[in-house]
Amino acid sequence: MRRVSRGPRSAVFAPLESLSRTELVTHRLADAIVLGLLIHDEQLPSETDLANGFGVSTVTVREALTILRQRGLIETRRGRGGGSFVRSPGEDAPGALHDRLRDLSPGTLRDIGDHYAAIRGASAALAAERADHDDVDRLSAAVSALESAATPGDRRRADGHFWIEVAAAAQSARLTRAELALQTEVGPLFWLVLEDSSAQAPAVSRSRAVTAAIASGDGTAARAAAEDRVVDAVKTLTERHLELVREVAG
Amino acid sequence: MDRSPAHLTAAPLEPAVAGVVTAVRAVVEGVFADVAALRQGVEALFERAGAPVVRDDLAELYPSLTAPLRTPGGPAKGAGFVAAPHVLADAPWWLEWWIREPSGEPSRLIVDVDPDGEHFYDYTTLPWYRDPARTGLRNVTGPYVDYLCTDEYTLTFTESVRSGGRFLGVVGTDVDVDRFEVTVLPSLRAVPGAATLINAHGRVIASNSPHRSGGSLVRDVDVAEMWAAGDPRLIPCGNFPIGLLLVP
Repeated sequence: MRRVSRGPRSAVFAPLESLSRTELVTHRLADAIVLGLLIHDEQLPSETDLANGFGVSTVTVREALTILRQRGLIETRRGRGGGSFVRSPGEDAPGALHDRLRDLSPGTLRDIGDHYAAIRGASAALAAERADHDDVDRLSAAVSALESAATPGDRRRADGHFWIEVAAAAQSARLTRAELALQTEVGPLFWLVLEDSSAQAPAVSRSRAVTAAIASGDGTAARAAAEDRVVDAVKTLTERHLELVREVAG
Repeated sequence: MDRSPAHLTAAPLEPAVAGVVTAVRAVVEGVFADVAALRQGVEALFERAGAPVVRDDLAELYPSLTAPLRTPGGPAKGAGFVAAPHVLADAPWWLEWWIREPSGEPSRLIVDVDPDGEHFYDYTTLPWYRDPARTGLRNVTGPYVDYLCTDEYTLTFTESVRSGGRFLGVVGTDVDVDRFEVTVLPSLRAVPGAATLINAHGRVIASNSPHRSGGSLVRDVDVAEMWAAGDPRLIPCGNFPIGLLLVP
């Protein structure tokens, strides 16, 4: 087989999907459990229904459920009333996310960060053009909620809400939907940054900078501040990823 | 919004400008008629009820609530009653909001009403709730991205509901911005000069000028001042906060 030469053309022939279908299904379900969208003791749909819902084979679903079972995120009961049930990880939630972070490459993290920066930077810049007093008030309220958040869950909620408000202030339904999709897909991973309470103050001051730039109608500053927060997060997550890999190696 | 006598004594409008006002009034008054029917239904429910009103009691609102959604070609894509906190005995927070499914059938919108929930947002702070609650006047919110409900670009028409001096919440109807724009655009295009429909805050709803894109804010003139002063270049379209701005 002929090898594709290096250079710009190589990106064209890079693998289409960095994750297998099993991994995609696993992450989707794991995130839903970690986010609390699937609640403790809730019964999952049957393997057939899950396969239909995700558009994958039952074999793929079965593999994903096995991984989730090994991670302690579901348990399977046999017999009458049996099936797969959600095990809410509670305070142990970051465990599953750490596994996922360890399995990612820094390149993938960088790529997710670029996508986030594009959506959030553009949203912030447009919001600076279009936000009215009400929008700015809501952004400030979301930052205050982030500041007073007492638990990782509260910080996660407040941060997610803030970015949805930024996209909504841009008056763009498409950017808002893109933001929501990103939060569902990779949000939990990014929120690992806020797991540590020492990250709260910097996140608050960055968010405040985004809000101030939007309030003063400075699109360039709003975009830069929004991108800075993504850059900070990617940096922290890359450091964590490298630590996790080192732990496994050592 | 100001309703100073200046508007009453103003010179008759140009026919094309009057055409826009007529077109906008026709759509919006129709929408507010549905909202008023819904308000009366909620008032009657609370006035009649001897016992505390619970969620299930709202079922009797169903006909007046879904009628606008079933009207063929009607502008409404959502309608409902949003209860003030602790007004319902068994649900401290509640949105009885119905939306038109692509199939044409109404279905109830499920949102997170648990204050500790991951996706809970305090709706009492949002303009479509807060503004009519504060003023008691008919309110137009938007265009805005309705991330609480459908993630769509929306205009929401709301009114507050009271019974025996007690504030019960708001009733309202959602309309697609696209749909509204398409409905009023022919009359806007008939105006020879610049003509832009704006809300109370100067947010553009629709315009015959590419320089005034939908969703942007009019910043080059002081819209608040024009509303307050009854400036003849800003023509109210009816007894609700939508005006026609005749500034290029």
